Amino acid sequence: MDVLILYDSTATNDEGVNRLALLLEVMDSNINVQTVALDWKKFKPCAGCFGCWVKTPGKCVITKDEANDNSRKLVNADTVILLSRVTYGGYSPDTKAFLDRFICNISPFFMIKSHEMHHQKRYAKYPDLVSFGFGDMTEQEKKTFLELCERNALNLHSRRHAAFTVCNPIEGMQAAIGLREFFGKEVVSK
Amino acid sequence: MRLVVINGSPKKGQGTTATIIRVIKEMIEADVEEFSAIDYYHKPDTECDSTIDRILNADVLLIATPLYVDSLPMPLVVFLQSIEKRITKTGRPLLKVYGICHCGFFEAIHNKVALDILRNFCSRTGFDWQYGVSIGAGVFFGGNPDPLNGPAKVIYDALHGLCEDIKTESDHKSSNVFVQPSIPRFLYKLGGNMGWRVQAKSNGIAGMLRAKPYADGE
Repeated sequence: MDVLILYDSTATNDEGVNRLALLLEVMDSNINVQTVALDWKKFKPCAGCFGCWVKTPGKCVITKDEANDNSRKLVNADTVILLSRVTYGGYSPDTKAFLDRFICNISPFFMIKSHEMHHQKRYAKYPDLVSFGFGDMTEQEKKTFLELCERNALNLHSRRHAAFTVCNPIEGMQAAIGLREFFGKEVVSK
Repeated sequence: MRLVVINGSPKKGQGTTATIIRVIKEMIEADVEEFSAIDYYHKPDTECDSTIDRILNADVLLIATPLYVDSLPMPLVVFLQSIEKRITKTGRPLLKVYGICHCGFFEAIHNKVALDILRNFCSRTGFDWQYGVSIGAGVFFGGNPDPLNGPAKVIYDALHGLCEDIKTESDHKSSNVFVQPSIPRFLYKLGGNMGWRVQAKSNGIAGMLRAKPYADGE
């Protein structure tokens, strides 16, 4: 199983990148972990041009950064883990810089799903999505973040998803247990 | 009353956000200063501080933005962080804040999380969050439809209500307002899907819209 961890470049090891990678490897030797640090200063912002839909379908027209490489990694992973500093209840600029450029991976065509309009899939299969929000956050920001992750999973066609906020050691333990359960189910089902 | 608008759209030129802001300016009938997050987000603090101070000296701040992947576009998040950072040095002004978020999906409810993020930003900065207007099928409005009749009237009405609250310096905090054009959803979906094909054809890539360039394993 291929797991891609996308994490903020501002995240320190204390905030879990290496610990998370280690945890996954200890949990299951069949999990291959790849980590990618995201830094908003290294990405051009999405220009909202829809060129990735109507000019070079499936590829962002901005090619001088790593967004397209990351998209290829993401589309081919079994699970993607986002490790983002919660910012007003949303993702950090580091994480959002790439996510804004992710839309090339879904189709422009509309469909109705869960009684709402969404975009159709471009690919047959999408990775499961696990989001970890860390840093100082209010209860309201936690609530917003968890809601955002749920909306993302719906729009990104993730078959399964989970989201955790980690701003103290207890929540860290809860997230580790949650992650174990998330992957445990997957391993059992295989 | 001094109103400052932050345009959160990374798109240069006349996009939907720019159209909405133009309509707001016409309705407000007063001088309105406008700043685009995309022009400032990447600049060092020394170049942004005077701009941010102009924003902090306003009475009312309106943040208008498109929805990007269920939340705010990256440059707007960075710019909001710069404002928060500046406040720690200059103190917290009592600034009334309204939000507008629009999306390409038909239903306005898609923008709820983005408006919640703007509200959370206000809680962090001590700004006085009022409410947001959420616009579904925003691209429909961007096409300059008839403001008095037709399907976009409901959006004009919502923006008019917002402008009245801004002008009268209303202090009645309200729930967010969710509006979408009064047309059947299936028609919007049909038109949207047709629009992608037309654009692809004019770009010489008809029939390629469903390409899978990264399908390594398929």
